[in-house]
Formats: sequence, structure tokens, C-alpha cells
Amino acid sequence: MPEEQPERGQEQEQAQEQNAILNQIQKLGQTQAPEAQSNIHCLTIVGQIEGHLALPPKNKTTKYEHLIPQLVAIEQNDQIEGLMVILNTVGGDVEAGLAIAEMISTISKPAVTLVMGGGHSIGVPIAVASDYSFIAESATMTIHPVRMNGLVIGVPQTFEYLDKMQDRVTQFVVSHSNITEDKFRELMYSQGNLTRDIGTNVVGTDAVEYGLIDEVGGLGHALGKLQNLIDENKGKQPDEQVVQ
Amino acid sequence: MILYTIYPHDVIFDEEEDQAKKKQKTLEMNGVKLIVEETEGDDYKILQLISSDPNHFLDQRYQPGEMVTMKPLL
Repeated sequence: MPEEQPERGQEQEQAQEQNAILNQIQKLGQTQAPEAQSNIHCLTIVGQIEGHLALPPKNKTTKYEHLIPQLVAIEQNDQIEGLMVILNTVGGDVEAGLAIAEMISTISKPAVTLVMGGGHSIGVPIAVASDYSFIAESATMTIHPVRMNGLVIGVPQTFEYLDKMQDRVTQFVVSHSNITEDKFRELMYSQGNLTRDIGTNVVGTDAVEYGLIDEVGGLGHALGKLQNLIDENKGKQPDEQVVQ
Repeated sequence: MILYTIYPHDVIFDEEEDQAKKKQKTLEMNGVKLIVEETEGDDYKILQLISSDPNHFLDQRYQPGEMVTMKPLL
């Protein structure tokens, strides 16, 4: 438009530009925001991890139907070079939690997890699923056995089923972190740490000491590590491409 | 479904139904998922933004409390 009317002054041009923005707001209810690209995408796992049943509305939930397509998009999009997962969760559905953990562990791009506040129960496998994990000094992770409420029909079978489910969680954590199976089970079944319950509340530095988490750190450490992993990954890629 | 959580069963499964929750919708705008609450007519208030792109959280259009207007496509 400025080419058509070269005699137009700068002020008029500005006024027209503002008018165009105003029109856009009136028509679409929005303006174009400046495009900024981030090479890192971030998933936040908060509240209850929701599974196959929708939890009552007062629960704050992380829904796996939202997370899984996002993980697929992150894997597939060339612009995204790394994944950052921030956890502050009280646990939730075993199957949904394990699904998210498996997705994070099998993503080909560098992934870093950071536990802030709490990463309890089924949050533990998610926290260890990445290439490198961080825990804030004040953050905690509660390790306890899988439990069940309600009517049980066929006690031995149910026990067997629960035991297998427990094993799936334990195996995942053991194979994705440096903790030994014996140590993990010891923490899970220890008495006196949680009042009237069995299990252990593992605080930041202890989680690192037991080998569950790689390092104590915060946001800056985690982003720095992710950037390092991205750089390493970039260095490796040409070799991989030759193989095809 | 087995829940593996530190919260007691009765805290999660509280009987109280939240009426406000029924007016909530999940919709997609410019490829960004939003949880919105119906206010009046075609206007919706943004409650939550679901995205893995950290820049979406800096975008003024998607801030919680912002209004979006949706008209049915005819």
C-alpha cells in the first residue's frame, strides 16, 4: 500500500497501521503476536495423573490424552531439539503414568526431568524416565507400595495382579535409574518414616544419594544440561544418518 | 483402574459435584489447546492453556482471564 501512495506522510502510515490492527481485533478478537521459536518444549506434570476414568472436578489433573499427542509432536517436529519435563505431582493412575514414562524414555530427542515440590508415587517412574534427572533440594518423592480400595473379589488373584503391577513400576524405575532393586524395595516397605504407613519420603539430596535421581538442581541447571545434551546429540547425528 | 498416589481415596473421590465445571470446555485456537469457561453468549473466559511450547505461555492472547469469542459456523 505505501508504494501506491508515495506522497503519504509517516504519521498517516502509522495511523493506518493502527487502524488495521484495530480492524483485526474487531474482526477476529485477536492480534498477531510476534512469532518466537523455542527449540525446547516443556511438559508440566501437575496434580493427579488422570487415567481411564475422569476424576471428580476438584482434582487438578494431568490428562494423558493431552500429553501423548504433545510428545508425538515433539518427537516429530524438526524445530524442537529437546524436551523438558517438570513434575509436581501427587501420583495417580498407574497405567497412564507408566504410559507417559515410557513415551518420555523412548523419545529420540534429549529429555531432562526436573522434580520441584513433589514427585510422588507414579511420579517416580516419570521422574527417572528421561536422559538426565534433577530434583530441587527441597523437593520430595514418596515411595510406597501400590494400594487398592474397595471390594475385592478373589483375594489371591487380586493380590497377584497388584503384585505384578507393583513389579512393572519397580522394574521401570530400576532400569531407568541407578537405584538397585533391593534398595528401592527397602525404601518402599520401610516402616516408621510415614506415620501409620509403610514407605519412605525421599528428600532431594537423599534421592541423589540412593541413585534414584542424577543430580540436585533447579531450572537453570536443568536447562543447561538439556542444552549440553542437545549439542552432543547434534554432534552425533551425521553418523546416524549414514547408516539409514 | 488402580491409583498409585499419596492422596487418600476419599479425598480424590469426593461426592460434591462442582457446577462450574460443567460450563467448561476444551477448545483449540490457532493450534493451541485452551480450557475455557462459558461466560455469556459466545464469550468464553480462558482458564487454562495446554501447550508444551513455553512461548505460548508468554503470549498475551492465551493468558488466563482473557476472553475469546466463538461463533457457530453456519
